[in-house]
Amino acid sequence: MSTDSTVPDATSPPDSSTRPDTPTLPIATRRRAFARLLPHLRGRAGWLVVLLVAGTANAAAGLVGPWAIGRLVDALPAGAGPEVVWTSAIAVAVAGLVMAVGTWIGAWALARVAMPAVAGLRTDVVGAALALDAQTVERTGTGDLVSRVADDSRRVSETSTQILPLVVESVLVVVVSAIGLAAVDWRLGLVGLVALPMYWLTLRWYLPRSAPLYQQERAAIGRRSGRLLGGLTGARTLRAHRAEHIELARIDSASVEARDLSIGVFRFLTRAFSRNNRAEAVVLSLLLLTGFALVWFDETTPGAVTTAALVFHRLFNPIGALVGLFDQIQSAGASLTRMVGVIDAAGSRDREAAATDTATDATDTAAEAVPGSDGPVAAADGGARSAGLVLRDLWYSYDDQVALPGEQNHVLRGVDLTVAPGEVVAVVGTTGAGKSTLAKIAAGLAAPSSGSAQLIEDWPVIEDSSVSEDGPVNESGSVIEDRPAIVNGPAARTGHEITTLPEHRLRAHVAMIAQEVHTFVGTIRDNVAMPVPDAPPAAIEHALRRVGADWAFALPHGLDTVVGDGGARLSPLQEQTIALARLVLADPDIAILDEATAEAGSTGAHLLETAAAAALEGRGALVIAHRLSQAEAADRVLVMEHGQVVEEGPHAQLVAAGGRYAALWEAWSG
Amino acid sequence: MPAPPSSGRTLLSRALVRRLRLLLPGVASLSVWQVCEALVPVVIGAVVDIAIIPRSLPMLAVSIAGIALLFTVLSYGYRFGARLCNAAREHEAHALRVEVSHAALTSPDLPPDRASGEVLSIASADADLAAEVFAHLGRGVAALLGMIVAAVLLVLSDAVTGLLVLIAVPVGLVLVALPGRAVSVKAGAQLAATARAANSAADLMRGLRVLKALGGAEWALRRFRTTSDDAAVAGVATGERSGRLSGVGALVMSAVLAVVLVVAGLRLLDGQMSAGALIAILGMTAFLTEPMRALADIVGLTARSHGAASRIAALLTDLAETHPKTHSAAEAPTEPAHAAPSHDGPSHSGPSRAAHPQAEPGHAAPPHGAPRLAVTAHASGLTVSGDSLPAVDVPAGTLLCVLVDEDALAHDVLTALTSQSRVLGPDHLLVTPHAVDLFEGTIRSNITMSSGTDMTASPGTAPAAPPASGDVAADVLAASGADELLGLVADGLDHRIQELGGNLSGGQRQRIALARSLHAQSRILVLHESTTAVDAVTEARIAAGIATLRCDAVTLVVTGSPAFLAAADAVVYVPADAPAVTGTHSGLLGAAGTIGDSYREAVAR
Repeated sequence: MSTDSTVPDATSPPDSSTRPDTPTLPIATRRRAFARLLPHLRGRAGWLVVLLVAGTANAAAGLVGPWAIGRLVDALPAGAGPEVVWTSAIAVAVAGLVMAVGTWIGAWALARVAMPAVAGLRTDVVGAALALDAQTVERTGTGDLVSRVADDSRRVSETSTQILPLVVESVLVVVVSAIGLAAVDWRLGLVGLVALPMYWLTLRWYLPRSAPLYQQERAAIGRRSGRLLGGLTGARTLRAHRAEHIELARIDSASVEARDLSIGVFRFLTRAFSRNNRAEAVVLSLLLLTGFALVWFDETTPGAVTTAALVFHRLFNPIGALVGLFDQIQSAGASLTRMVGVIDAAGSRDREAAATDTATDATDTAAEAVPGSDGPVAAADGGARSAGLVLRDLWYSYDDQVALPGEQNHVLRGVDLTVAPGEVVAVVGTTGAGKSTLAKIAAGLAAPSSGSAQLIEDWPVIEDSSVSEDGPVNESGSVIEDRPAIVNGPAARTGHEITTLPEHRLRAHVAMIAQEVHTFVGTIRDNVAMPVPDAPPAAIEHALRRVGADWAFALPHGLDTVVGDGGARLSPLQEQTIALARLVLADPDIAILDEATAEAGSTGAHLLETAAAAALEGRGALVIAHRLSQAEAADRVLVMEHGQVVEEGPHAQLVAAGGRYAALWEAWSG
Repeated sequence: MPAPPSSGRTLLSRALVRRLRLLLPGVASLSVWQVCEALVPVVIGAVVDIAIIPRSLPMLAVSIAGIALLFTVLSYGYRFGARLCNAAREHEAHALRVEVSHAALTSPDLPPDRASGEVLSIASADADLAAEVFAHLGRGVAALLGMIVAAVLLVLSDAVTGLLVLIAVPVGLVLVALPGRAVSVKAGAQLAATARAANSAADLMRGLRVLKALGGAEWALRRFRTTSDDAAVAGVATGERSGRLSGVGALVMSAVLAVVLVVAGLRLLDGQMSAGALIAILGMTAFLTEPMRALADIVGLTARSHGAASRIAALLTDLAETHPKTHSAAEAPTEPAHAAPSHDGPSHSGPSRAAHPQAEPGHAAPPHGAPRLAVTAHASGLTVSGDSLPAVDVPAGTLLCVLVDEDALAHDVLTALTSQSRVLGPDHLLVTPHAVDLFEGTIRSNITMSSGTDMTASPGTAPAAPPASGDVAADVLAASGADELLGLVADGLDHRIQELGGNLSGGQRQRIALARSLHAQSRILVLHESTTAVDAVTEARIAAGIATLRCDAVTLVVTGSPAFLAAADAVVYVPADAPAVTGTHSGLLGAAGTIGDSYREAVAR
């Protein structure tokens, strides 16, 4: 993808040859979701039992009140003494104590079970998203992931803290009260069961209608927010064109739409509550009617009927809560399946990666670049070695229908590129020439449709900077003797297809800074440490100084200044120097730069170029040149046009040759 | 235009007054519902008393009819009351939202300390929160009325026990409420921790591509695990505390129930009270806790609404204040411009005045003396002047580039021109900011600045109104380089643009913005580093294209791009520490001495 070519996931069909489920990630089944949740619950079985016991005791103690009232209704007119009153009162008080302890312990146990389980799942999802292979992330975009990993996980977390306790308590109260009702009189218990189909019918009526309504409402609110944000951020442009009224009208209409939908949703909700009321009235009447009949035939006492009616009355709120919260529970469940979908998507990849890892781990220790060590890696046989890239006959298309080379619609059309250790290669070309796609393939962020992209880990470093095209030879004792891949070329050399390499191994050699700049919420120190989490402070400071980020030390809190969303604001230039400092700290053998100096003005462009040059010192690089001065500084320049390399050579040579590059340079340098 | 509400209180009372038609019947209806809820235990007691104990069939029929009636009234009371209060709330929230967004978009400028994110949060979350006051009001008044009715009924059924209940229940609630505050603080902290975890996840996902490209997965997971575990720990603490609080609540209410039960039981024993009254009193004792607790919650929730209302009122006041302020700030530079519509006279009327006003708002001037660079628009073109530059008129048909070493100076020049453009209008002077703003719609609607859906374009009173049909001239597309991207996207000009142009790259966005600026056909167009994300090849084509397209108008480009500098008719260069100079790109590149050196250094290639 070039500076400004199309974003693939917005305009092109997904490449089903690499991942059939893109551009959206899969959604797990409920069973899968539960299976993922289970391991997090397993270690807490003890607390689950405590929760169950405490909750049941609490619910049972709640029945004492209605029982005591019924007892008084029966006993007192029958001539019992005040001791009945006292014992009943004591029973109520003791029940209060049980309820207090039961509520307390129950809530505690629930929190002990739910909070760590949700936190574990939350972390699993983030871990899974981080482990997704880079090509998937490039293809699906990050929007779906943000919504699943942040929004869905937030919904599940909030449901577990705010709604789950209520739901658990309500369920226990309903179940225990039903048992209590049956214990008072089994026939009254049977009548109470009539409530079940009635509430079930309410849910059957409510749920299928509510889900789309809520969805529409959420979508309308999202549209409203989007238009508000668009209007507010674009206020300057709107004002310049005197076009405020257009956006205002659109904001108003979105707001009206959301308002009317919300009102409609609420009207619907009140109808559901009316159904609840109807069920309450019917069951209460039935209980009293049956009670009357039982009393009539001396089958039971008025006190028992009283108890039954009061027990049922006590259920109004919990049942109402359950019915009212049902859609929130459902929505949390849907969020859960979407979260687990991410885990499953990454899980399949995990296994593949693990398989590759075990196949290579035994031998790749020597080849592993040690983060923080400067320069080429000394291999087992003693010669200085570093990594290089060999890309051969690359074809790439966003359109999965066009799989074969030679057909139309290819962004890359048979590109060859070699980056030897320490060599800086610049790529120049127009929009849509395929520069950025080439960079992504080299960095392992995209898989070529055909052709080979290999990382050579044991390329001997030749002091002469003009590295021969032949590259490394597979010497005896080579560190990658397993699964050797033969690359077409003048001489056989060993390498690994970049797309099959485990990420940690690839990133030890190749790192990229793309056009997208992101500063994470955290300190500047944290932000720089991203590629090497355990980097010593001195290394971080050194990295920042090397890219000329002296401004960071001058901040009020220095490197501990919190930046990112909500923190201190950095200029785009400063954010880009942080990205370069990360690269210095990561210290890869090959750096790939595709950073557009889009936001930097004339002064900024200079600073950034100096910083980039400092960051590239001592390593090989593939630089997508957005400014010709970047090409001028490179060892070799590739001129691309329509997915093909049309000119190649050192800057001076190309300028002297008088071809396309020379014409560009003429226009550029004035 | 009426003055905006000065405080949260006035905003809420205005809201109350203007929604009274919905609120009055709504609150009345909700009160009926709450009273009916209070009557349920009373009715149960009455049925036992009059029908079941005496085994009276006729009374049973009456009882069942009574229950049916009670629940019907209860149900409709809630349904209509809640609907009316909710409608009041939604309408008010919408009205506040519209008010805030209108004020924000039509104010000359957002106050500098208010980011658009903050305004967005005020226009969405705070508008909702403030309007929520109606929901609280409905529930609160209803709860109060329900309690009063219950109290009257209690005293009527049995004065002694009734009074006891009326004293014991509030005392019990106060006992429960005392530790409640500490718990709500904890709960707030826990919500914040959960939100932090979610925000951290969102932050990491937004930066996922950056993480992937540099191999930062381990770092990210470590960070997130810490945040997430913190939220879990806070969650357990809150769960335990709120459980303890509800436990205490259950204990206190059981104690109250036990006391009432003793008193009522003994009075029943003395024959001073019926069994039905006992059921009613004990049932209501349990019931009373609901509205009382609701009332206690509502106090806190209303405070929240009031806070939101205060934020809205503060923003509206701020926005209303920027109107006069910015006008006074804009006065100076627009003074010459004001003369413009009145005559089409000689263009040299401006220069002498133009040089000075700039110094005031621009802060571009050194502490003493003339500004380093001033640009003023007038009827037929621009006047450029500065401390070392004699005032020069820029005639129509000129492409002028300005290269300024100090970003602050460039910013000031652009700010001054922007405030002039507000007076002159886009047909005369259009200043295009560097940051590209795209709007949801199509590429076409973004270029023509018409609505992407059904709205018609600008008022049309302007003399050189752009074609309202939404047609974009081919030469505009070619000159802006937008033609190239139309071939790359589906549907060409009718390609959908998502919110904020999120589906386009930086270079694509810049070229659409450029096409928009050119489409407006203003007599004077000011651009600022408008092709920084466009590749060098295309940039050269764009510069040449703009020079050709705008051969009858004035174009000023603030840039360091050699493509534009080379295409310009003239270049004004303001070094950081030397007087400004004018010339051509090749002339300045070849200039000897320090000025040539610093120019060559300044040109961003």
